[in-house]
Amino acid sequence: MYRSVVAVALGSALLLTACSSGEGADGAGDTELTISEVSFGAVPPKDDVIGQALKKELGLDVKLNAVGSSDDYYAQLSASLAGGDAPDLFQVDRSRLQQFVKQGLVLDLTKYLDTDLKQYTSFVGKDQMKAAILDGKTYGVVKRPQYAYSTYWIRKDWLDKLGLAVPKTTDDLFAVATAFTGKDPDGNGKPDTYGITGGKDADPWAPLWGGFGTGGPGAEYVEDGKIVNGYQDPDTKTALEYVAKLVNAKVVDPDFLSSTLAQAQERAMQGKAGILCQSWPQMTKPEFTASAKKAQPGAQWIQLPPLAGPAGPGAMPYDENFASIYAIPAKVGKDEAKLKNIMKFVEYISGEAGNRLVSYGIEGTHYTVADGKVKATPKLATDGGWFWLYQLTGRDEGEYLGIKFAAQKKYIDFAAKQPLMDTYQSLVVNPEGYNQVDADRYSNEQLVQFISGKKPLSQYDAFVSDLTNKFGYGKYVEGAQQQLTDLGLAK
Amino acid sequence: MRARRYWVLYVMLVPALVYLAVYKYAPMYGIVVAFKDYSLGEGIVASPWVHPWYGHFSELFGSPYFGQLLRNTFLLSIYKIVWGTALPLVLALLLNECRLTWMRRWVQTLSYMPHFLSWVIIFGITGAFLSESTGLVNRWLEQLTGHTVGFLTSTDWFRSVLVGTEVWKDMGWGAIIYLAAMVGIDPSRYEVARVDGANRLRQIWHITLPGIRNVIILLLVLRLGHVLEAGFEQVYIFYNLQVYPVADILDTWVFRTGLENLNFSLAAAAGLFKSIIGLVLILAANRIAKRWDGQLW
Amino acid sequence: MVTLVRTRIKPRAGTRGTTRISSREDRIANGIVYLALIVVAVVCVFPLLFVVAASITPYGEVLRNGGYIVIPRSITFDAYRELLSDPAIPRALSVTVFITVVGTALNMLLTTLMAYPLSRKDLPGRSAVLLIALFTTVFGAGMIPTYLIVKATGLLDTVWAMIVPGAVSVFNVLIMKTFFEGIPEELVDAARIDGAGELRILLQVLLPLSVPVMLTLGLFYGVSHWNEFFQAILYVRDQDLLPLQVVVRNLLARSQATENADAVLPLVTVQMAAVVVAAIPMIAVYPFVQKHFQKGVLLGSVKG
Repeated sequence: MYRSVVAVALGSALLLTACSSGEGADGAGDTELTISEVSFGAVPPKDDVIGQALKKELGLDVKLNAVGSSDDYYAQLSASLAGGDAPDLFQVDRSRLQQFVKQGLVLDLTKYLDTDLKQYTSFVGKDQMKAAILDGKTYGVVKRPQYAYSTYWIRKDWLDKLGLAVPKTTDDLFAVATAFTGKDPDGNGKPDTYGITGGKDADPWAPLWGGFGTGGPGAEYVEDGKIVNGYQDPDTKTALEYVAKLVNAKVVDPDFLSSTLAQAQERAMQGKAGILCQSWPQMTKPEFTASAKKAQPGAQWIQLPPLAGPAGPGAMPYDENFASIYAIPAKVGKDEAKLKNIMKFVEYISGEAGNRLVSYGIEGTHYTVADGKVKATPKLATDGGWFWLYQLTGRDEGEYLGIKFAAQKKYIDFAAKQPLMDTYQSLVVNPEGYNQVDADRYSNEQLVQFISGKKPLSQYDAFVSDLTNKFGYGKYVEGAQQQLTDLGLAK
Repeated sequence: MRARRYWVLYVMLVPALVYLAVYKYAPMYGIVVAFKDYSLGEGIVASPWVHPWYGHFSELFGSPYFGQLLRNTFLLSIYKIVWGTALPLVLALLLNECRLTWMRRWVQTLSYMPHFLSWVIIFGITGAFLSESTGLVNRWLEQLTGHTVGFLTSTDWFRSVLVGTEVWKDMGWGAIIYLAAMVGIDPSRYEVARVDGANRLRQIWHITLPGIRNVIILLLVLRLGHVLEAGFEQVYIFYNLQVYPVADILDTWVFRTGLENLNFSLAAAAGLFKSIIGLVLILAANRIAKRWDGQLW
Repeated sequence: MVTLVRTRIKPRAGTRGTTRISSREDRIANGIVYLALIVVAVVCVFPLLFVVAASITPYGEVLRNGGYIVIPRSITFDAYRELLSDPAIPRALSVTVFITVVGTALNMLLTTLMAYPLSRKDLPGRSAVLLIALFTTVFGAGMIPTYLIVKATGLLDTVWAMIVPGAVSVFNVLIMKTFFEGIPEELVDAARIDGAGELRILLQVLLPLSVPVMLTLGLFYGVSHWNEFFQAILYVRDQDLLPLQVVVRNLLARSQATENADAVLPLVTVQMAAVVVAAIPMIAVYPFVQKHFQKGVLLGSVKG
């Protein structure tokens, strides 16, 4: 009997010791560089070509740790930072960067901007690097901003069928949406179409705000040389009245508040709605278009410029500082060699050869050069879906999109060249004592009430006053005013 | 003789106790984060204490939404506990009463399948049925009555959608444990009852249910201890602004505050609050369970 | 000399007696049972057909029919072909299988070792241990402190990080304990008189009578390992060690990439195929478990 007891005890002890025999490969020499970022599911293959090329050029073993969704990524990052095993470069958004900086977790890179990071600085441009500046110091490497990608898309064939012109003003849009809903544009005899659709995870009204003279609720922008907050701008109320009008006229898909944008797009692709705010990659991906044609043969989607409204010509609110930032942990500051390696990498991918590598891959395989111009080979489209994971400092959007997505050039240009209205809320750092979560919930909930008609817009001013005082939004607005003025945005 | 027997039993307990000590109790020092201004950089031990010590708790209780969050959490949880116990139990009873082996096996396997779908998928499927513009249910409703119901956007229906989809997902799964218990009931007891003239319903009431009573009580007590966990993942994926007043629960609020704003201290305070309430409830539930001789200790 | 005679009887489903008289009342009762079960089966399966059907239909058809089809008109296995050509899938599958098999074995061992002593009502200190265990189910330390402990025990970035931190579920221990307590004390006493020690009692008396609960808990643990993804995300950085569910989750996350020009978006058909592939092994296991549910009912007799 004793034997069996001892056997059990030993067995369990063995199991437990086996557990602690695993060791993390720590400090695998000075040539390893770990990068963490959100991947949206993109995964580089094992020993990928770019990694190999980087090893050859720089002697660095670059390890990408790509996490699918943003929520999961930040959970992992927080744990890593707490445990002291943060990666060498990690992706972060500005508000979390602020938190990390406050806690002393991030390295100050200001002094390297003109020396070890010279190429990077000129590649991205001092003007675009504001997103990583806190208290006058630079705390991360910024990705060169992308062009605007989103616009309204509309069913041209439905317009043609109903004999309507392409809408140019907000009033036109209302008329068209009404027609799409009531006049059976798909000709199947059933009242199963709506004018506009959208999702709960994106702003379905973005192209409208500009026409009303506002950057949208919650935005921070410049009007007549002054910093203005979207909620407090009286033009926003007018804009909301318009949106409420749309919703109450039942020309909007009732699921726009509860489904995701991806689901809304599917409904649009099935022929359930004729107007949708979406990005050109999602709308024109070759994987979709063939199948979408099968679902709705004859469907022709075109882009709309932002709509003109009572306040003037339209503009798409665009916050170019919503850039990706890559930060370096503070403790790397003590490791000269490692810091040098990181900066070497950043410099390289910001230079011509390096940027070409991470943008287009390997010459001969993924692209060819003719007359000094890069031309993509078919392999770029099939094999290059994950290259962007290496583009930490970004790329020359114009050139890149034109080369990689040559077939979609007209959509790219349309979205990029549309009139834009600069908004700056990404640059604002939450002031002390401001509870963003509760304020956001209140404001977003109330907005939904106004838009869906549950609350009349006559109560808008009372709402703004409550938001400002009871929920402390006033502190945010003051803080924004101060910070953006300090950044020189008010003229 | 007895001591030796006990000694063997104690030794058997050791591995699991070691595990609990290392992976459950050791991390508990992290609870102090609820009383500190936790900074990831300084670490748990070195972070400064918050002034006053209850600072994060007053932030939690002081939120204008706290009462609503608490109410939503309780209600959602209670509905889920009630339906999530009753329906699997009924299913287990039905399966146990089923005389056809093939049907029993098939239904058991089929009913257990939804458990394997993630909430993201179930959200998509729910949309296919309940979406106001394209959902099957609404299409029928429109044909029948000319009206549609915004199941996913209405504060009247949303809780039911949450409870309903969870019950659908876990009905077969939850029945398994009750079935396992039912299989262990001595068949001769049924025979005796039958001879005594009891019909099926009587047999269930007097033999089956009492036979698995302890399992039912155990599960109820444990679930009560977790009443402040109303199913974060599901709510997070399903909810939207229109239904926040009934769907925003403690955990979703804490998630937005804690993870999205990196306010771990506040998240820890909320967690501690939940734990204390849970402990009180489990102790109370066990006291009540004692009356039916189903106590846990 | 006491001998335990174990008679294995395989009870016919639902038969709880030898009377073969099927009264009218009985037939009505049966009818209700069958009807109810059919309703349950349909309700559970119908939505699942969407998922399966979407995975074997060409994407164009899926779109045309509003995204959801029950009976596909044309069948294609393109989605599965595309999914399985990704080398990450078989790799992730083997990781998940390892975690499930080894993890469940560890779980069952530790759970049984803990449940048995706690089911002996006369063990001194039993209540204390129970409270200690129960306490851990209500008081959790949170993500970061647990991460620090996992790191301190050297599990980070190893496959064990997905096995050891969840080695014992107190919930399951309590279930097993309750079942053990339900086994008649006389059988245990008889064995004890016979000179059997605690370990022998556990192995030869209790375990054979506990097959249903063992299978059930084995299933619970197994499925929980199979579905695990968060521990992987938190503790593992090596892309080769990622389990199946993380890969599937990544596939589903691609729909969020609105502002990303480069992301190659998987079609919903491929996403559904991934869901099916991830779920099938566990669903396939169940009928085997079920079969053994029927066996092992003891009609014990004690001779001597």
